Amino acid sequence: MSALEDELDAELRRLFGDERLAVRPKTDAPETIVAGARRIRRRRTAMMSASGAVVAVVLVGGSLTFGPFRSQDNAAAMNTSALKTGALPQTVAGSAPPAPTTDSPLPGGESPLPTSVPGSPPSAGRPTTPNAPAKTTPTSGKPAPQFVTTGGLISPAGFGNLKLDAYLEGTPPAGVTLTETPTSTACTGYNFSGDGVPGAGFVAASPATPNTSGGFAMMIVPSGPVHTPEGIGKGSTKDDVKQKYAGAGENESGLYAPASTTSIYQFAVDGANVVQAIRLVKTNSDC
Amino acid sequence: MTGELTDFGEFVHASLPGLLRYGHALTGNPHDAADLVQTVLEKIGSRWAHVQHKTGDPLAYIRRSMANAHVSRWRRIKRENLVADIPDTQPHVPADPFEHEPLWQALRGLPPRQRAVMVLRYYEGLSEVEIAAALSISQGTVKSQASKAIATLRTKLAVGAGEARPVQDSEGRETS
Repeated sequence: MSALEDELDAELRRLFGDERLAVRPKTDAPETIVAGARRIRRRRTAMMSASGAVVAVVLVGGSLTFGPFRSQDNAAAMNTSALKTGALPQTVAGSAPPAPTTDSPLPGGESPLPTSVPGSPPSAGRPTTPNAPAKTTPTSGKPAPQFVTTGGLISPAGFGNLKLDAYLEGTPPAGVTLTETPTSTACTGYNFSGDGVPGAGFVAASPATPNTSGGFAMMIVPSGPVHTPEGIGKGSTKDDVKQKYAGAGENESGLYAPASTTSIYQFAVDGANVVQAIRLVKTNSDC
Repeated sequence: MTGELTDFGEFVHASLPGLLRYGHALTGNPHDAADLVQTVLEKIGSRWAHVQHKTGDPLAYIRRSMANAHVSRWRRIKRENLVADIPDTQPHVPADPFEHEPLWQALRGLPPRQRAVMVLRYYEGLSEVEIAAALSISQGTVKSQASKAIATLRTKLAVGAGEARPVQDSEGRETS
């Protein structure tokens, strides 16, 4: 390094260490920022609830309705914050966790799912056969759930090469084309397609760095028919879902079931309580 | 959420002066600094638990976010000005405290990414590898951006110094 470079280096360090860089905030600045954060979160929650409903309607041509939220069925399933904010459930029915003592709907407040839910997700390539074990014992007196294999496989790992929680900035997953699509939330939305996924759809990513594109895949919404490794797919009934998944329940977003300890399936059902579409969502998703 | 935002509020109280100072270095003026800090903090506060969970070092994460936001010029949204007005008792304080600093003025002329690289290098003391990771660019890009920035700064400083000196003719006589 030359003397000139040394001099410029030293000058830059001196300048960036200069006390005149200090900026005095208004006294109420922290409160203003916290209020702004609260406003953004509220707006994001509202927008994602709305966009979720829109996605469901688009997927099935407007013929679907999500099941109504029945608090008496799911008292143990929802913490109070989720009820207030419409956030995803942190726990599911049947898990009987102790009542939450905080109202945080975000990570750190994750509650364990039922022990009947596998801790490690099955691989995306896992074959689905009629003999694949269900997660729960079918309720006696009810017909055995049909095992659906229609469409692509959506598993706790994700959808083909598009993995849940994958980082989606820069190089996309192999064989997957991502086209950014505008959203009104802090999350980035992409339409996906390509040979690396069983079908096209939409994925929402929570930015790793605010104000930038990309982020971690938080919600995968295939646009065509899909099925889970447990054989739940288009045509399954609400009863099938509840028989297959011990932790299945319903909230204001409709029918859901645990996919793994950190993700859930959400099922769009029609008026006859028949599943028409499935999406995979991280339980700590803030999208 | 209340508890979480209380925690975030305490974090903001403690870190705001440092972040504003850092924003000033990044943007070149206190008002853009306040705008940048407010925008980034509001977004991060809206997902505070997630950020804490994912990063482990929220302050470093916020600084990287600010650098990226500065580069993307995303901060240019009109919003409430958080900087306190200059008190009437200090009527002679210049709007730009570095008005007479040639290096500061030269830095102002750098493209946002080059300036961000300079700030990360000389304000934060990050290595090329760390800067590359922070800005999601390659190490080679960091090197070239830093090199261009240094060359530009040196040229501007040399020109500035030349303009300040009396021009002399070939025999050393002052002509102006």
